[in-house]
Amino acid sequence: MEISLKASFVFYGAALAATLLGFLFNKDWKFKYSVLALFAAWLASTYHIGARWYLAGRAPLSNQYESVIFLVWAFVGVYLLFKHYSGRELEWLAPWTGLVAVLSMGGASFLGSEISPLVPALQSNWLFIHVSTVMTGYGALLLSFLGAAVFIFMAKAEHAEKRKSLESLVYRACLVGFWLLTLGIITGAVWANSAWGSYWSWDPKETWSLITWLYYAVAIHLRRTKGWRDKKFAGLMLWGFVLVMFTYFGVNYLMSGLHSYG
Amino acid sequence: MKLLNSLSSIKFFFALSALMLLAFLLGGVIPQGESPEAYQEMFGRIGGAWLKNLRLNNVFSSYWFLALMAGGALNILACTVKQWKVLKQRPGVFLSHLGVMLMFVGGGVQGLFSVRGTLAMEMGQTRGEFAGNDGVSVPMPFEVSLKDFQVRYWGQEKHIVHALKKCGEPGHDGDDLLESVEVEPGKDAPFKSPGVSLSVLKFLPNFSLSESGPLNQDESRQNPALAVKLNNDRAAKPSYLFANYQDAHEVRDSSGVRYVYEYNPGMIKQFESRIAFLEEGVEKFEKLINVNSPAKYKGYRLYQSGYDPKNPKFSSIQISKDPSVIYIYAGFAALMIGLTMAFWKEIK
Repeated sequence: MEISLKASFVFYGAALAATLLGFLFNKDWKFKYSVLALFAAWLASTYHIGARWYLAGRAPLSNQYESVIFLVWAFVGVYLLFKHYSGRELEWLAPWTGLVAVLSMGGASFLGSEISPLVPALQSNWLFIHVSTVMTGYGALLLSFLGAAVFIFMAKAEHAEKRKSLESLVYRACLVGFWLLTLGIITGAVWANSAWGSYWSWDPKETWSLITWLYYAVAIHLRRTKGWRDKKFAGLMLWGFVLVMFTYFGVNYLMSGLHSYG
Repeated sequence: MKLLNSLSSIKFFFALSALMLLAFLLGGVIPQGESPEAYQEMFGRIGGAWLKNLRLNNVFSSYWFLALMAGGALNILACTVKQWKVLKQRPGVFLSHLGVMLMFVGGGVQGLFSVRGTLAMEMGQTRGEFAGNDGVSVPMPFEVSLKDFQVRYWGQEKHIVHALKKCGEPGHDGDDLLESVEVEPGKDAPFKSPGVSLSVLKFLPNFSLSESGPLNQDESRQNPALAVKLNNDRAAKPSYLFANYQDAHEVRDSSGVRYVYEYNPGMIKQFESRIAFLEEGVEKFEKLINVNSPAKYKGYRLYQSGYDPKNPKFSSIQISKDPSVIYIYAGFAALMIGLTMAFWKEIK
């Protein structure tokens, strides 16, 4: 199982290295091999998650380590899907995706990776439904954040074509992330109602999820009704992901509540 | 019409959203529901008093927050009414707004009509009322009897004995941990300290003293103790190590090493109550409830919520009757269908 995790890490690194080498030797294949390496890493990650699921006898989504691994998997998966449906338009984003994946997995290596039994509250099929939906949503919002950061970084006029496709990606990834975040909050509420008889308890994680949700809802309304596009919308996505990160990590470390286990 | 336009305006939505975000932030950052003393400690005497006056200690049930929510509901309602005309062109937007509005309605219904509370019971007890969240006793149209309560653990319980020696360094009062050994009742514990052997004679889950000497009261783990003998001294009386009173009764060997007992019940797998529902003393049916698996009867739902590690017969059960769930779930469905319809073309 560990070898598959290491393999995915190496392949994510390879996605980055392929582009760097391509630039160094002025090769056209640089992005193509980056995408291929990303796909290989994603397959290795899929195997790792599947093997951990099999060994634990439950979905590997019960602690921070497992959720980060799943988040990276979802983030790369969402990117590959967008890339698949956009042709070659977005392949140049592959090394950036690899970079974020390598950094995230490096960070995950500092977290406890042991497989431990589930506390009673987590022994439910809703664990997989709720956490996987939220994490995939975070993955899409991470992609929107990455696109927004690169968009702002590429301010020069000669990048007009890339900026156009990137602007569209930032918005579409935001819509996917918002849709999944909504579903994640809803599945969490349904689970809470079936486990504790209360679909909303204003637990810190719930409150911060609602803050994040409302922020993205306002951002989408600003774009649709007030025409906030390009840099303005990219800026909104950058700040939005700060909220996502606080909801995901900050609340766990700074506040206690129903989500204290993960 | 002018009022409808103002209430449904996007400016009103942005203003409300900004205020809601601020309210959520305040509620998310300031610890909620603490005692006045705790707020005084956190924010000082004046700060604590202001916090209470502005209801920032209970943001989500304060009047100003409820007014804000009512404003949000009005905005969505006005927006939905206006969108009725363009329903055919933008059904997704209409449905998603309708979904949020239904959730506001559900929130109102919950605030007005739901009842929630706790049934704190011991095995064998029967109750016809529960303690509401506001502390007032609420009668039920039936009685609930707790027939059985079980706490199950992942794996076996563990008995660990730590060997400690007084720290020799000047100015340091603490003990140094020499070693920790997982022991088994009825077996000798293999401590590495030279010349020391610890015989673990017996485990007493709930140690008590009677006139005839030490005894085990029952199988509950209220006062776990180990009967031990040092250096296999079969003739001597056993000494006792207590998990709950590690410093009260000392067991030391000749070299000054102190032995301390830690009882680890293992990680909880599940706790479950077998409850019976009765009407006029006649049992209607019984059900085993645990976390994630509640019981339903006459509009009430009973959820396993807690236990007392010191009292194995005690079970805490949450009870609720919430007619708002149907509105909330309808809102969830409308919101998801609406968002899917609104976003689909754009995502593609």
